[in-house]
Amino acid sequence: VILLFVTLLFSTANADLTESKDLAIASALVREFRSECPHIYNSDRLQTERMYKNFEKAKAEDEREVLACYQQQVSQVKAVHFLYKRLCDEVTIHGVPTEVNALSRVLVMSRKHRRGVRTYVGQLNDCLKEAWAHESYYLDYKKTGDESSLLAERLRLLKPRVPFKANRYDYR
Amino acid sequence: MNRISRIVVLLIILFVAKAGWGKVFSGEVGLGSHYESNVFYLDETDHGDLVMSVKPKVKVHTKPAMFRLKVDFLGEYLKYLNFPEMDTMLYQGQLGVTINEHRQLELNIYGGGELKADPALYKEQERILHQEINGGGELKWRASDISTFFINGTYKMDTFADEERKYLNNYEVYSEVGYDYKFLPETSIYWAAGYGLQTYPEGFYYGKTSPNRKSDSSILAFMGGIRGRLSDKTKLDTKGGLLFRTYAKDSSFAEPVFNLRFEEQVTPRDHLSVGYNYEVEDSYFTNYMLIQEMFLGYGRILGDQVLLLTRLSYAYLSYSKPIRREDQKIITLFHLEYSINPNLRMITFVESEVLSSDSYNTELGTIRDPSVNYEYVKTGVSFSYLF
Repeated sequence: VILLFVTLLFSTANADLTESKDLAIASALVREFRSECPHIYNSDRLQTERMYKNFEKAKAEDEREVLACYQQQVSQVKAVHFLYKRLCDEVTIHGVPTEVNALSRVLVMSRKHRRGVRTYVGQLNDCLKEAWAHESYYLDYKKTGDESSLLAERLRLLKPRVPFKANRYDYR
Repeated sequence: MNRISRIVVLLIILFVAKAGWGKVFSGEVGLGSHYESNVFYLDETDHGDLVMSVKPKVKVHTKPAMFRLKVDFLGEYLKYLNFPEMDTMLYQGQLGVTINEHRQLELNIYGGGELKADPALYKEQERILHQEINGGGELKWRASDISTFFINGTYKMDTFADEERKYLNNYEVYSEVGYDYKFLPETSIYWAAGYGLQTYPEGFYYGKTSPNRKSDSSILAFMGGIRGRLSDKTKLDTKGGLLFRTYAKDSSFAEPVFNLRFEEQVTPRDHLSVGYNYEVEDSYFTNYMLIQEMFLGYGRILGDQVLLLTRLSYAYLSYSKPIRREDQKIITLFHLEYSINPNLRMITFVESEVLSSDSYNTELGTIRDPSVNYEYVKTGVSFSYLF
C-alpha cells in the first residue's frame, strides 16, 4: 500500500496531447472517425426514424410493455444521434482540427460516440426481448441498411455447394 | 403431377399464404439461367450445358413467446437443356419449436428433411439421389446472465434411392453436454464433451456379400472454443479439441481438430473474412476424410444498390484407409447483386472449381487408375423476388 501511495504521489499526470507522436495518433483516430461517420450516421438515421414509427405504433396498439421499453430509450437515442451528427458535420466540413485543445475535445467525443446509437438500440432490443414483444418492434440493423452486418452475414453464407467428390470414382 | 405443375401449385400456395398470413410469413422466389462447362465433372472432353432454375423459399416464424414455431422450406428445380438425366428437383425443409420458461430454461426441438443429389458418376446415368432425415433437441439452462449449461442430441438418417446403393444407408446419433461462459458482453468461451455412433445396417462394401459392417464408427469428442467479438470491428469464431473417430476395421482417427474464423470490418462498406478448418468427416468413399480448408472472403457495397461478394478457398482432402486418396481443390466464387428495388434483385455469378486427385491403388491387377481431375465453371444470372 505504501509503495502504491508513493508511486501515485510522484507520478506525473500527462494526459495532455503535447508530444508530436501523441498528436499524430490523435489525428489518425479522428481521421478514421471522419471516414466512417457518414455511413454510421446514415444507418443510425434510418434506425431512429424506424424507432419513432414503432413508438407511435406501440401507442396506437396500446402495447404497454413495448411502450415502456421505447420510453426508456427514445430520449437517449435522440440525444446521442444529435451529438453524433454535430461531431460528424464538424470533422467532415472543417476537417481534423490542428489546434491541440480542439483536437483533444474531438478525439474524446469521437471515441465516446464511435458506435453511434448502436449501444442504446441493443439495450432497447434486450428490453423488448424480456417483454416478449413482436419481432416487428425490434430495431434490426439488417433491415435498415447496416451494411456491415449484411456483408458479414452474406459472406458467411457464401460457400461452395458442390460436394467434395471426384467423378468416375465410385463409392466404396 | 409433373414437375412444372408442382412448381405452379407451390407458387400459388405461397402467394395465398402471404395474403392470409402476412405477419409471420415471408418468402422468396428465384428464377434464373446459367451455363455449366462440365456437367458430369469429367476429366476428358467437357460437356457444357445451359440450365434453367426455379428456387422458391418460404419462412414462417411466429411471434417470440413462451412457445414459438419456425418453419423453413427451400426448393430448387434445375432443368438441363441437353442432358435431361441431370434434371433435378431438390428440397430442404426444417420445422422447429422453442419452449422458453422465464428465460432460464429453453428447449428447442427440431426436425427436417433434405433431398440431396450427387452428380452422376458416368454420362447417361441419372444423378445419385439420397434423402436425409434429421432431428434433435437442445436444452439450455441459464444459471446466470453469463453462465449457461446445455445438453443436446441429434439424429440423422441418410437413405439412398438407388437399390444398388442401399448398402450406404446409415444413421447417426450424437449427444453433447457443455458449458458456456460469457466473459465479455458479446464474447463467450465454451467447453463440451460429446459421444455418438454411426451405423450402416447393410454396411458391407459394394460387391462383397459378407455383411460385416466394416464402416460402423463411434465418435468421442472433447471440444472448446471462443466465439464473439474481439473488438468493435473484429469477430472471432474458433473451436478446437480432441476427436476420436473409431472404426470397426482399418483406419481410425484420434487427433486434434479445429476451426478458426476471423471477420474484420475494414470499413462499414468492406468486410474481410479468413479461416482455416481442420476437421474429420465420415466418407462414402472410405472410412473417414480429413478436410483442411483455407479460405479468404471479401465483400463490398458499391454505391447504394450493388453488393459484391467473393470467396477463394483451397481444400486438401485426405481419405483414410482402406481406399486412400488425396484431393486438392481450388474454388473461387464471385457474386454481384444489383437491387432493382427493395423486393427485386438481380444476381450475376461466376463460380469455378479445379480438382486434382491422386489415389493409391491398393488392389493387385486393377487396370484403370481411378484418379480423376476436372475443371468446372458455372456462370449465369438470376432474378430474385422477395415477398
